[in-house]
Amino acid sequence: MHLTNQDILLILKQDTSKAFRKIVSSYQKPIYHLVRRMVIDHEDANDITQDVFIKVWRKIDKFKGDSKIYTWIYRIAVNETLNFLNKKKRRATISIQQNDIEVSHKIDNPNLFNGDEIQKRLQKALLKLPNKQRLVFNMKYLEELTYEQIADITGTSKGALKASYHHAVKKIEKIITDSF
Amino acid sequence: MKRLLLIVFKPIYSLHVKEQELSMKNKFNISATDKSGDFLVSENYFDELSANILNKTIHKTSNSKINFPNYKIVAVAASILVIAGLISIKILIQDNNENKLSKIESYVLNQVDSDLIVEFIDENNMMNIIEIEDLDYIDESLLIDEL
Repeated sequence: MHLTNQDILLILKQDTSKAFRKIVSSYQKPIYHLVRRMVIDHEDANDITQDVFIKVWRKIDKFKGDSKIYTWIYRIAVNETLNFLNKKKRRATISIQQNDIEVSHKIDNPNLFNGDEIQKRLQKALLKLPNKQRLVFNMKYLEELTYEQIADITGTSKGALKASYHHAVKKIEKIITDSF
Repeated sequence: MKRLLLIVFKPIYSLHVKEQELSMKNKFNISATDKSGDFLVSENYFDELSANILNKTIHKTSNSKINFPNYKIVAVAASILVIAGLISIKILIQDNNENKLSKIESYVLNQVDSDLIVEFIDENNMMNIIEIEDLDYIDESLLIDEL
């Protein structure tokens, strides 16, 4: 799935459009799922994913291979998602708690979520985490990225990430067991 | 950490056990590539997504690159046409003024005091009044009546 830096730089030299098409086909799914797990709503995830790739297209000539291609794209996706969530919170005329309840109801909607009861509970528990912590948990547990990769993407130290993940797991365990 | 989570989930799962045997990994691994647990999307969603992305990026840039020189050409051509039009109108007006006295459709000669006044209607149906000295500009063959 992941293109190497060498692959992408080689194609970029010859044809920017071709390189971009390869990037879109390789990364649209993981980026969409990364974003969707954070925002839950499909329409929001759809818009944000498109915005991510529009930004990738605008900056693609500046990509020199200093970081890995997927790190670069994931970083853009993380920033777009966190910006969206922060804006949403600022714009919300209802309380944050009510907002979380509304998003949680989307998980209950069988048209939006095809997971079983346990997965639903996990997703709802994740919603109770602060955004950045939830993002770290998703990337570590669900996307199975290494701490090093997550550190490259978020710009946070490995030690801080480990601590954040540890606390996230504890919280989720408590939330899920309390719900039964 | 995964083991801890599995310890939590295992007893919970047993409460919800279904007849089919599902592997622990498939049941609880909600990874991006695992279909069970992924958010629902339509079959052709990702085809549509990539089409939308390309329309807003590569295709948008290509289209604007094609349109831009055409826009310039159209603007220049339009300016030339306008200028040509204005010049033509000026020539016509000038022509008209110079020639109108030669194209008298009807005239009336009147004498007012000692001056000879000619009233005539030109090709544009406009009433013109000229003093006799201006008759030099009139083609005499067109005069019908005379004092």
